[in-house]
Amino acid sequence: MASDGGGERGSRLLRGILDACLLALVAEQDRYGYELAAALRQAGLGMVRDGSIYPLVSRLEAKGLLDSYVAPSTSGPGRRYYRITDAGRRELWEARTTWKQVATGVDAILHVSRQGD
Amino acid sequence: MEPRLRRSDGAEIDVQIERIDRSWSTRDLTTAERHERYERLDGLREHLERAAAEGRSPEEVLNPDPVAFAFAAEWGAARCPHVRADPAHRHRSSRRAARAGSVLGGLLLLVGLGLAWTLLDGTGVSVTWPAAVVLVVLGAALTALQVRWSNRAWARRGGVTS
Repeated sequence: MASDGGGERGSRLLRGILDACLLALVAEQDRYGYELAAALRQAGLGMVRDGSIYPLVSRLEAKGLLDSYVAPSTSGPGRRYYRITDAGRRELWEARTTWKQVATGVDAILHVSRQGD
Repeated sequence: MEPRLRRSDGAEIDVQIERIDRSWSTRDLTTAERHERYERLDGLREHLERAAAEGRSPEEVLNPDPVAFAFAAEWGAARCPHVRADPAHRHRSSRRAARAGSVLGGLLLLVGLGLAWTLLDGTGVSVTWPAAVVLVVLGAALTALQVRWSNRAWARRGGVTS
């Protein structure tokens, strides 16, 4: 795993929330694989390998949280765009709620520890 | 200056795409899935070419070994949930099934023999011990053959459980 953007710890932390990040990106606008990877990098999540995105979106698609369609591209073969479904929006809402709880708790603990250093 | 795709990157991309394609081609795919496979490979190629033009190698984008490191297997499994991604898991399941089949076969054989013995007991027909041993060995050999045959059939299907 690449070391930029948080290294191994970052990758491990992201593993459980990456699907929600992808849902959130697709909820903003329909995107294809390369765009998803670029958006993650732009957000500072460079530790995510582009290659791990494809299996994940396929899994989200199989679960009915994402839907996909092929649109023509000017620079080559058609591109498969992903769009969020209603079930995906509900899942994203739940993921946001959970993340808020977890982040608040972890932040409180880490903040206390930092004061104790 | 505009980043460009180097010739060595193009060759490496060809190699990776071919490996992933080969890995997928071992699965039983419907016509629609096969069509989708080509389309997804084209999309992946474009992704790798754009990444290479930005200075990121195919290895960096996928993994040091995309096929062994489950890229192709995972993606394939995500597309076809009935296919297990992990070959080691498939192997373990197969062996477990074979073992269970052997035990069940053996038990059925013993029950059958016991039943035959009880039925023949009152008829005056005698069954000698060597004959019983031969029957048990024959039954065990048949069970082993059946397990071996089903494992081969499973392997020929590319590990796809149907």
